[in-house]
Amino acid sequence: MRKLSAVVVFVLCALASSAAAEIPKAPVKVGVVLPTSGPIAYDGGLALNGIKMAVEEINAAGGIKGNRIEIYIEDSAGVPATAVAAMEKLVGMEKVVAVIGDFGSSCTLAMMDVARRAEVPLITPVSLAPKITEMGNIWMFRGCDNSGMIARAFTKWAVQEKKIDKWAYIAINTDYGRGSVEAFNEDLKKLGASVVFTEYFNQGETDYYPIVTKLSASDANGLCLFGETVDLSRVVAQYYEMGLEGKMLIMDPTSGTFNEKFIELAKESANGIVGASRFVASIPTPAAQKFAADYKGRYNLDPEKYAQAGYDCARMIAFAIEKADSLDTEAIRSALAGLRYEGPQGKAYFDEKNQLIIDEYIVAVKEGKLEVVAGPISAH
Amino acid sequence: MNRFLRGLFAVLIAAALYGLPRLFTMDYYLHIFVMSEIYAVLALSLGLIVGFAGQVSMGHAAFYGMGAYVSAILGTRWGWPFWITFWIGGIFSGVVSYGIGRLVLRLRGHVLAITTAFFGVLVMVVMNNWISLTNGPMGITGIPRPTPIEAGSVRLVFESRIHYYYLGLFFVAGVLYVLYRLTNSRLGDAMVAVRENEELAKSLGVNAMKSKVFAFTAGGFIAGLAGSFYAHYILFISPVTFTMNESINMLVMVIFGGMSTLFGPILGAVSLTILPEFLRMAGEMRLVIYGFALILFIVWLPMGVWGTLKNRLFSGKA
Amino acid sequence: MWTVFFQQTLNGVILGCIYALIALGLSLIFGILEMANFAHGEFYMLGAFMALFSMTLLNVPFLVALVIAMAGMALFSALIEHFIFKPIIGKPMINSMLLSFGLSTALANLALYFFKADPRKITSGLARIRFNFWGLFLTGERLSILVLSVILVLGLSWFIRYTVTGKSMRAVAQDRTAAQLAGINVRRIYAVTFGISGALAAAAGTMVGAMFFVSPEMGFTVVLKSFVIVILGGFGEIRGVILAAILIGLVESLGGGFISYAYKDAYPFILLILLFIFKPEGLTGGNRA
Repeated sequence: MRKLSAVVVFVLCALASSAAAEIPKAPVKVGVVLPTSGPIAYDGGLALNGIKMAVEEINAAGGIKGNRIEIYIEDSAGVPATAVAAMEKLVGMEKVVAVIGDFGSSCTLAMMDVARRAEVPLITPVSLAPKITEMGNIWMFRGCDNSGMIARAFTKWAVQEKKIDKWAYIAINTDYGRGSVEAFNEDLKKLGASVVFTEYFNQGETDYYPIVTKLSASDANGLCLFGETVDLSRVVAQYYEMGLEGKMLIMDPTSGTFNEKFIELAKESANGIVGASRFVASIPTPAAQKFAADYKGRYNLDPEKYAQAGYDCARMIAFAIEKADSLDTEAIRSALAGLRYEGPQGKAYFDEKNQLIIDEYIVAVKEGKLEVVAGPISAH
Repeated sequence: MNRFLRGLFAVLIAAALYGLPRLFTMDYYLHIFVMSEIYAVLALSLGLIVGFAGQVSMGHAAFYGMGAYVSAILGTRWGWPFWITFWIGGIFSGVVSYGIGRLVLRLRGHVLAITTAFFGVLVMVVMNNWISLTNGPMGITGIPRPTPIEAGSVRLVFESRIHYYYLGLFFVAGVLYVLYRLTNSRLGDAMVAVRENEELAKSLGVNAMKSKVFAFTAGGFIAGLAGSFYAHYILFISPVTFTMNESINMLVMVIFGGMSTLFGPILGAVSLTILPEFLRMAGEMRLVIYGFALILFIVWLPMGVWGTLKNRLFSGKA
Repeated sequence: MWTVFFQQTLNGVILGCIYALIALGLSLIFGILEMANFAHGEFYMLGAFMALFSMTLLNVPFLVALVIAMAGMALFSALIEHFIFKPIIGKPMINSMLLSFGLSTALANLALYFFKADPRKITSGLARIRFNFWGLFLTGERLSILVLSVILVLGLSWFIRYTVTGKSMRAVAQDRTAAQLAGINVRRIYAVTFGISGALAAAAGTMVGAMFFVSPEMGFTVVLKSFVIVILGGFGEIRGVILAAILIGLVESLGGGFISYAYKDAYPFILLILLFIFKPEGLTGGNRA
């Protein structure tokens, strides 16, 4: 009898404790801060596509332990103070348990402090600035690769396999462009290649003739581009207009060009570009193919790295909440930090600085199609 | 009696402002309030230039940005406390403002507006490319918060938004007081005289250039102070904050509230900081609504909300 | 090295031609209505979209699309003048400035809402034509910009000099009241001015859309640069504006190529300051409020 009652008490306790930790039967609120207006609205929209798709898939499959995910989307317009307001609104008013955002590093850097004070995990699908994960903010996660990882994977391949020893850079004048050039220079020095040309352009620039004309007088054998889809398609088109075809290998290691829009805009000029990417739609694994097909069915567009990152970040958060089995943000944070995730792109996990460790692929454009030439190159 | 009413009114406003964070405790609201305070100072400083001196500047964000950068650089590189860098940021902006004012205030109307706009572009370009000083587009991180003030047993810390809110109130009140004294002085009269009719003012012995440059310098100085406050509040600055759009935004605030008044720019700043937050609900149509609202507003209320109200209310007395 | 220099010069001239088309419209409005239209960049953007949609939806050839865009924008601009700018003509300049900012924001974001942010390209069929002479490269598109700008500028000069409407425009620009007293319908002149300005912007937009892209945010950066050109060239002065446009084109191209591309956006300010210091009397706008 005594024994029985002990068992009953034990069971009751177990029930009680599991009931306390379990997610209350209500929608799980997740916030999103991305630029849906302003000059980077197009790229911001791609990441948002991925997030929406992930959330709809999870909800269709029964949600997180039976709870629907609700996403609250706020526009940052690419302005730090607006991003902070958006973040405050999400954590204060909507009481979200995690936030995905932002796109530009400036906004993410400004939002980080809110995440720390409100103790809500913040995961960026795009921002590359090294500072984001270097500042020791445990609430901040980078849900994509960083320039250092890309540089390590790509420079070795380009210098050793493709024999590119004189590099020219045309890079966007942002933390992304400048940071990437810095990271690449470091690795190129180790590999014994030299840099003969570096020019930066402002976002949204239209006329690149001054740069490509100047480039035509340099002796580089590889042109390395850092930027977003639209700007780079202009660079490449004007590079060809200047008659530089075949003079150097065009490289796009951060895959600003590896998407359908670029190929549509640049047409034949896109052929022959090589680069590295954590994701393209043609990665031949079943997981990648399924994601690509589903995405295409939904948006009539091949997914690229932003959509993939948005998709993965949303799923990683959902899995972390499920794993934590709680809406306590500290529990979610530590579950996210310890998460072993497998997405369309491959396996991924966060290192001790909350930097996502994922594989890279070497990709080339052949006849308007993106082909995986080498990889996955493990960053583990 | 009138004086008593005024005093009562002031006390009521002060009490309301003091109690505001008790009603709206959420950090989200407090952030908007603090941003409203910063914009109120910016709009006041631009209002001095545009409203009182009658010189349209489209590059005010440059002075805001310079103050922010100077203060942030001194604070992060040499660890100088906010209470010192705050003033240095302002003085730096003021000095540059003086130089630019001397150079461009000979110009009038559109030419002045476009030239100041391009001065703003120049400052942006420098912020973006002088990497060794400004860290370029990567921005400056790790800007220190204001150090606590200790006076006897009282210890004032600046950790959360509510502290900044009260600090900001002092800031706005201080600026308002200085501008009130200024615009009611002979110098203020000279500015208005030059705005209304420069030739006439000159013939009456007003040094037009001097009064314009003075307004421009004072405006730049105050904007620099606001920049410094912003930098030590957001704790991160990068060039994207100090764009031309920001300059235009400030102009709209001044016009919306009503230029040539002191209350107008404050009203404009507060309402145009809060309004976009409401318009968040409108999603993609937000800026469309904003644009059309601006058009309707300029057509219907060209004197600004406060200017029009003041005219309606006090036209009998004046 | 000389090849690079001449190539940069050629690039600069072509850039200047585009700037000239945009700035001429602005300059006319400046000269005749005495207001700054910051929404001019959006006229240019909408013109480009009009050409794009005529080509993709109506399947008309490039040149026809260009004409449709110009006609469409002429009408649109005249309507905008009638419904939006009319009430504030003669009011302080800051009002017209902010009004046009409002219009600019509204139009750009309406375009963003309806046409989406993704950029599109007008396929003129001329990009594939490439000329290569003495080591200099020129695409068919760029050559056609050169030709088109010359035609449009000559046409505009003829119109202003010899037609009745053109003469009335000059009269209004010189003295509004006197023109009114002489029986000129000033309101009609305003509408015509806006129409011409819109048509020129549409032509520039279409050419740029073929050369680069059409996207909702293409207008704003261009409009500022055009204002500098108008100031450098003089308000309402066709020849001055064209020279200033080519000067800005050259400064951007040569300065961007030989000094620093990253500092390119700062050059117009430096030019303005140099002008104010060395040739302040060249500023016809200095005595207008």
